[in-house]
Amino acid sequence: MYRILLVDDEPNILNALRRCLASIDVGELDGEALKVEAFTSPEQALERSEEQDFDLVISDYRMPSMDGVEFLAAMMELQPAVPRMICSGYADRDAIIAAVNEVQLARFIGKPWADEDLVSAVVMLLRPGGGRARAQRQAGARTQATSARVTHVEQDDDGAIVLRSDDAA
Amino acid sequence: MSTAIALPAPREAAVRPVRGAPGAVCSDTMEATLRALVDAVPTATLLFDAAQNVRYANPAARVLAQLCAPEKGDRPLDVVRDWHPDLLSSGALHLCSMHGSWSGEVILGFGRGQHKILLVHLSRVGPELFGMTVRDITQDSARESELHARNAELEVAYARLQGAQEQVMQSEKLASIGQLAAGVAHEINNPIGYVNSNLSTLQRYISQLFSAIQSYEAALAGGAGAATTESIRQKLDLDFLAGDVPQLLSESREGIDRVCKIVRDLKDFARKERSEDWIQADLHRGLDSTLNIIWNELKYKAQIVKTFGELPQVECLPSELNQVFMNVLMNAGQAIKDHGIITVTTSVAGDRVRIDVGDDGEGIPADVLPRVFDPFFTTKPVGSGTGLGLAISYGIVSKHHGTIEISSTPGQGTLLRIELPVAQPR
Repeated sequence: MYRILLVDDEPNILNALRRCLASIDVGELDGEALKVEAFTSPEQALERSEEQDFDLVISDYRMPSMDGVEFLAAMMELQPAVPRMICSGYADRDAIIAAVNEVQLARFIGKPWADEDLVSAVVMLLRPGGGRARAQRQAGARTQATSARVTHVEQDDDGAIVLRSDDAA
Repeated sequence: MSTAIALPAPREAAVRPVRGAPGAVCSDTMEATLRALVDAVPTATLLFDAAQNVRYANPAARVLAQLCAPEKGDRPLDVVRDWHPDLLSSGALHLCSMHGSWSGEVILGFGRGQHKILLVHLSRVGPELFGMTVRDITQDSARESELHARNAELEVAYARLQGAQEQVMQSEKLASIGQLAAGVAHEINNPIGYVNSNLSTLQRYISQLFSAIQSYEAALAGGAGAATTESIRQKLDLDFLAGDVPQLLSESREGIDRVCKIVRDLKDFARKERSEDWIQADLHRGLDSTLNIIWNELKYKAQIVKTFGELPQVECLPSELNQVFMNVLMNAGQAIKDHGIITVTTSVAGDRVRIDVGDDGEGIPADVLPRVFDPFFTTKPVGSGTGLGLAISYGIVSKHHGTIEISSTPGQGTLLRIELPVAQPR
């Protein structure tokens, strides 16, 4: 099962995101079910994260008590490996740069978003060989490259280079 | 006493009517006095008869005669038409005979582009006897046209200045909207975001419903029992749809309403009025719509405490006042570093209304305070303030015959008080 944590101060956004994520066919996630937990308060989301590991975090940027980068930075402390996404209508360039630099954002999705973009990003980041697994694997891939054990190099949908070796998976 | 050297015989004529006055003992003295007076007048004054024979001409008239016909030198100019062909038109004389008097401007050409403009007044002073005064207004009229030209230039410059001022005000207004743009964009993108996503979801739901209908039809045709329909129901999650569709629709409707409201508020705020549109307006409405727009920006850092009193309608230019409210509220918001309180209080003081905007932010140092209304004075980083906000606000409030005052304690906050008369002075 994959667990996704959603944080947005707007309940209607959370509901819409839930509906959108519910459309993901479990087949795309290798049969794994998807469980979504949603919070309007970043503090409560952090509290929950102390007891529950997640496979993906999607946060708003502009929230009253704490902005998205602050929240994701705190989340990074708790669960360093979890892929982080921001979904925000706040198009300030500095905010996006800060998000990328400070919390190593996996994706920035603007509002309004297209459901299929969100779905493909989520699937990409959750799927084995996607975000989390890939991040872990890439550390190993470097070793593999030096030891010339990489047997297959390809570019994935978003242009990132995916290193695969036959025995890595 | 005039000597009228060049014009013989006018004396008799000139004095004839006076002499005719009955029983005037001192008529001779009076006549002498009048003659002295007329001789002294700087306006060319003459008397002539129906045949245009000059009966009297004062010194100014003789100067005029020489001016009109210099080539005649000192030769006597006995007949008016000899002075200058255009000086006395037969039409003017005819009108004077009919109506008793005639006035008009006469332009005399002297060749080589030279001309004089004369103001001529004719009056019938007796049977077959006419009085004529001629004043040279060439210079007056040159001055007048010069004045007209200068005036026109000034009017053009004034119009340009007004245009420029309007432009500055409009661009300041747009600048303040620009500063709000991120907040407004966020506020619009949020509802658009979920409405848009909900529509995609709804599309999915509807195709689910259609396939449910098809399955039911097939089941009905096959004469299937309750177990089959139940399994269709579960397979297509119809119970979930029945619960979620109304919720999805009402959330989406709420989103659309929110966008409409933001757009309406922006339109209220940004509307450009013609400057003469003074109307009776409810200031609370302007404050509310301005607060609505700025709330998108402020809600992340400030709490707003509104204390609205009972205000009468105020004669004003509402969109200009909205701009004042916007500037003042933005400043209050910017004075607050992390979290604070902004108070907006309205009250009536005699025949004036009072709007107080307070914040518990950084405050303004005493050396800066006297300069806050100066144009282009800003303490904000380059690019984030035009330095015109309060200067323009001051101008707008002054135009309303109101006052705007600021008091501040560094570290404690700032209070800005705007007072406006309920009615504009007539």
